[in-house]
Amino acid sequence: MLTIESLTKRYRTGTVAIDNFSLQCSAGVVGLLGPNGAGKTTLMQMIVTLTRPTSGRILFLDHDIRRDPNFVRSRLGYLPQDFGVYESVTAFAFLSYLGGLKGIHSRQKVMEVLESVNLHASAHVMVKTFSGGMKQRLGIAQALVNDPDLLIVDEPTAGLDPEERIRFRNLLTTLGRNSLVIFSTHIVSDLAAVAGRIAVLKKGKLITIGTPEEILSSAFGKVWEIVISSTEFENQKSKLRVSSAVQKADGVHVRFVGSDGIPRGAAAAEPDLEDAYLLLTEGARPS
Amino acid sequence: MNHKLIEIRSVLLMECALRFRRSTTPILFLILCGAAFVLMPEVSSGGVMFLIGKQRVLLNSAATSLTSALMGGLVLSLVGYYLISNSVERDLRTGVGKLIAATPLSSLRYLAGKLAGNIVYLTVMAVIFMIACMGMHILRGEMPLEPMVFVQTFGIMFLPSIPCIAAVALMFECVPILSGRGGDVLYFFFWTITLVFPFILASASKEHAWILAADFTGLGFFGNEISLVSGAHNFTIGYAPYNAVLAPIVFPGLTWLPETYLPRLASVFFTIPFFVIALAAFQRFDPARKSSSENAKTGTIARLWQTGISFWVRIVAPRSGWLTGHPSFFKTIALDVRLTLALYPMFVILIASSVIFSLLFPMSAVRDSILPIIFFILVPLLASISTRDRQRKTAALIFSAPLVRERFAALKFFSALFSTLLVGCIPLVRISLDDPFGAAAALNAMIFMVSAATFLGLLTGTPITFIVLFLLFLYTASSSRTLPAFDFAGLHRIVTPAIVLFYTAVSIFMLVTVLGFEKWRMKRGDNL
Repeated sequence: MLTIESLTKRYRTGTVAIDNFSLQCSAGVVGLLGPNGAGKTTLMQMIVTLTRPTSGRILFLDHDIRRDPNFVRSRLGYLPQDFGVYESVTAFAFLSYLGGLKGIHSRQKVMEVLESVNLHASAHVMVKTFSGGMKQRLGIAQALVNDPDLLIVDEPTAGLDPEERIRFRNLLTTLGRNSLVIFSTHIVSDLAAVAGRIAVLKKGKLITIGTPEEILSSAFGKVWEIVISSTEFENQKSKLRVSSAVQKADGVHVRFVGSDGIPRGAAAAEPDLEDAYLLLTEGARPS
Repeated sequence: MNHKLIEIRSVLLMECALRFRRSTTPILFLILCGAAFVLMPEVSSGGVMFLIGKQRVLLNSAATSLTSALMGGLVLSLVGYYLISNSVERDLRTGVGKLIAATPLSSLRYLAGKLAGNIVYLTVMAVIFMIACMGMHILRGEMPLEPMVFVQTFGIMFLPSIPCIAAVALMFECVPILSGRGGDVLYFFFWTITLVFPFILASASKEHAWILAADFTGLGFFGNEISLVSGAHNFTIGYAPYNAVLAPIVFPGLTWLPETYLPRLASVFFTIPFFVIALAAFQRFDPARKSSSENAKTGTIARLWQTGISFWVRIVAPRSGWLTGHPSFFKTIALDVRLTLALYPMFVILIASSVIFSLLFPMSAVRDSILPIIFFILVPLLASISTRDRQRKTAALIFSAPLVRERFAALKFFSALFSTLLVGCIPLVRISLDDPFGAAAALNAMIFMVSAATFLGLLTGTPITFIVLFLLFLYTASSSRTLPAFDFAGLHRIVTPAIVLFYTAVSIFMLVTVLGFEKWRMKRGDNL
């Protein structure tokens, strides 16, 4: 469905945001994971034709999106990280506008999408009265209004309350049955819940791609827990790759990842996706 | 309807919805009605609207419609630009642009919709002004109202200008080097050029009549019509002394000669090149192209500035330890001035240039050239000081610091004043050696300018209001060489102590008002 071949984005300042990146995806939910500045947003901006690659190409349903950008645009739903809305119009008007630009002129369709994000009761309310979470849901609605074949969402769950987050994750799972959803987030648990495959990026390069189970398996035997005093923790914390540290009555419960220099008394722990991510981004060198 | 037209219509309708729902739009309508009221005075009370030579023109529909259309055209071509020059910028600022860029809507259709939105908005403004003027004619005209005369006159004056202004606004928004505050000031100079030059060139020789096609404001067309109808080249709009003994001139109306109205109508074709430039420069909200064009825009200046900043941080800043420690209002002001210097490289260049040129050039040049230039360049810089915190949404951050929220207006006033004095102190010292009163008048003018920037910036929340009004004031002041009231800085050496006192009183009024306004906003809890 989507093929990315040797994609590179180099800014005029010389910064390489994406470096010889290749990926193939079919229908399903693909999660993008990586530290800040890894190039996730730039990669998404190139897929949605917002910015042009320096070299390489992106094919969507065998169409080169650089040559025929409107092919992908007409089948695309996009929710950027820092998107905005017009404050002085109603949710319905805003969605009808963006739907209209995508060729959707049905009022019923607009209402259906608003209902899918639980905004139908506020359809005719001015957007300026919306909370941050409601605006985020309106953003999600505009991405879904044209029943996209390719949905690109950048940090979509930021600002959503737990209930809405679960609702949105379920929506993505449903969409992922027939469409390709590329989903970037820092909330690893969101990815674990919906992504069929996870791609980990660092410094513009793809470190690894696999199912959550495959990513997780790379961390087996490399996650540890130890209870130490506060003083000892202060001494150790620069030496350990700490994934969490909780101060309790009996000392600091430290969870860390690594295979070398494990302090005496540390016990192996069951890894989770966050541990695996830490190991991959801190330890691995991009290939 | 063709789907491409539907897309343009969608952009147009959204543009209209956003513009007409702005809270300032009804205020603007009221201002237009007020302008019609002021423009057309009561003849029985000695008021005059239009003079040819020293002779009053009878207020028939032809005269009132042409005069009001000219004045409306002048204002619309200036203020109208600032009202509409934020449509693409709005999409960029709100982030909606990225959503639009990911739709199949082409750049051409997007900009065509924006252009149409600009045209509709300006046309509505013009129509409301025309209706207000017709209403005033019924009340104060000396002959019965002829609605078709108004429609025809406003049509010939506005129809060619509006698409041009709309396209110029779009061009200024899309061309990186013309966008932003610098572009706002540049447009003012563009406006003054199109205001004066076509008129002067066309008056100088009939061979240059084609230049009237570049007469966006309609002043050249107006002058041409008056000279064709009355043979006079000298006319006055607004109050001026006149010979009451002479019977009023009856202005018969426009000539409708092809050699006058065809160049006027031809000016509409200027819309095309402006639009094409806008289209070529439009970056479709590409974040990579935007950042590289921003780099290109500042370029060498930015690099020099970075070097200067490094010098400041390493050498000067450690010695300014007095800025740290227990907070005080003075330290807060000093920090705000330091932020101004860090944000605007132009400010430092202006300070350095002002010092160098004021010391090198003769005193007369300091007063006649350097000081007026300083006033013009300070306008966009001062406009930003009082508005930047709320515009960039950093007000909430700085209000959490002590002594800021309660004294925000005072902070902004003193910050702008100290910044201005950094630029103006050397010229003022030089002028004071020769003419202490002139230096006092110039200092007073700087305080007036800073007060106006703080007052208008905090009241309206946008730098545009101060930029437009003060540039207009500066333009009027610099071209009125015989009226002491406009010699606010003593540049023409006709300023009197009474005039200085008048501007001091206006400054105090603006400061007291804005201090009260900010206090009121804080009490309401909405001064973020």
